[in-house]
Amino acid sequence: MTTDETESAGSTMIPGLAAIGLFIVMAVAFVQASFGEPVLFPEGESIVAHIGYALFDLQNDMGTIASEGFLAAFLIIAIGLDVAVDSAIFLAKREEGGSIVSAIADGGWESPADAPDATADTQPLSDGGDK
Amino acid sequence: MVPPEYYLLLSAAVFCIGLFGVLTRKNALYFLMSVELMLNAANINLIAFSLFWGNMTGQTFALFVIALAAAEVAIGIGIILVLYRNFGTVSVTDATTMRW
Amino acid sequence: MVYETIAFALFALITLGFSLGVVLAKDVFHASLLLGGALLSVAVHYVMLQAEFLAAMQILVYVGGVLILITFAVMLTRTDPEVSNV
Repeated sequence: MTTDETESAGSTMIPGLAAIGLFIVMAVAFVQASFGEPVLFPEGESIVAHIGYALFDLQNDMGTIASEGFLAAFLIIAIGLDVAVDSAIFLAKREEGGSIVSAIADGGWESPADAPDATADTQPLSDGGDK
Repeated sequence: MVPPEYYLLLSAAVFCIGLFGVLTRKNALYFLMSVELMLNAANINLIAFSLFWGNMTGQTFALFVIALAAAEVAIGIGIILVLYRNFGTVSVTDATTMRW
Repeated sequence: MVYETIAFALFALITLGFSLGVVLAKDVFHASLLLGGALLSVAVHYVMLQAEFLAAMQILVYVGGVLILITFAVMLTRTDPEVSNV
């Protein structure tokens, strides 16, 4: 299995202190904040149904829980997910020949002989572009 | 419900853990997992305040965040596999050229 | 109310423990498994916040999709221990 490089203690010290410092700053801000009385959802209302109303801008007609309309965001994200699918396929595809699934099946190596064994050092392959 | 300050503290802690992972690790796979943690921290906040204010906007937005996180991981995995194919490593410090 | 707080504290501890395990684990495969635990405990928080649908989506999309993808990539990009343990 892949193991990460073992960092020295000095390389994790500064990021650790930075993360803890950020947490302390946020914690101080949150503890001092006051939020008033909770409103909560009304009893007997279907939460799932209201998510649907909010997704398709129906809450003015059918819902009782306040919400914004998300129909435009829904359509934009639908296009965004299509772009994600296309780019994932583009990344997985080989340039010359080869099917899309071959990159998944062989772990990225052209053939089993190309895969690095225990003795040889890892030689970068250059089948992904023109060298 | 539990006071929202508790959820804010939990979410800040998870976010800082994810930030620590992004800052210290060199393996690109750890990057992906740490970004997932940070997105989950944001989702906890959204859903906690959705209940607190009795407003559905938070839950609906969290649904969008989940969908986009899934797409982001799919793209990230594709990039990591191409990185491994071309450089023979998944360390983000080794890939320093824009072409090969 | 007090039981709710106890449950929250318990699952918050579980979430933080799994999250720390993700960033501190030496092995990427262990880290991905710990990430699954963290995502599941976040789903429990969603249930406590009356977001049952989002909890189901969290488990379906994250644990069922994202985690499988990451585990897939971990296995596809493995390197030899002699090379990586430097």
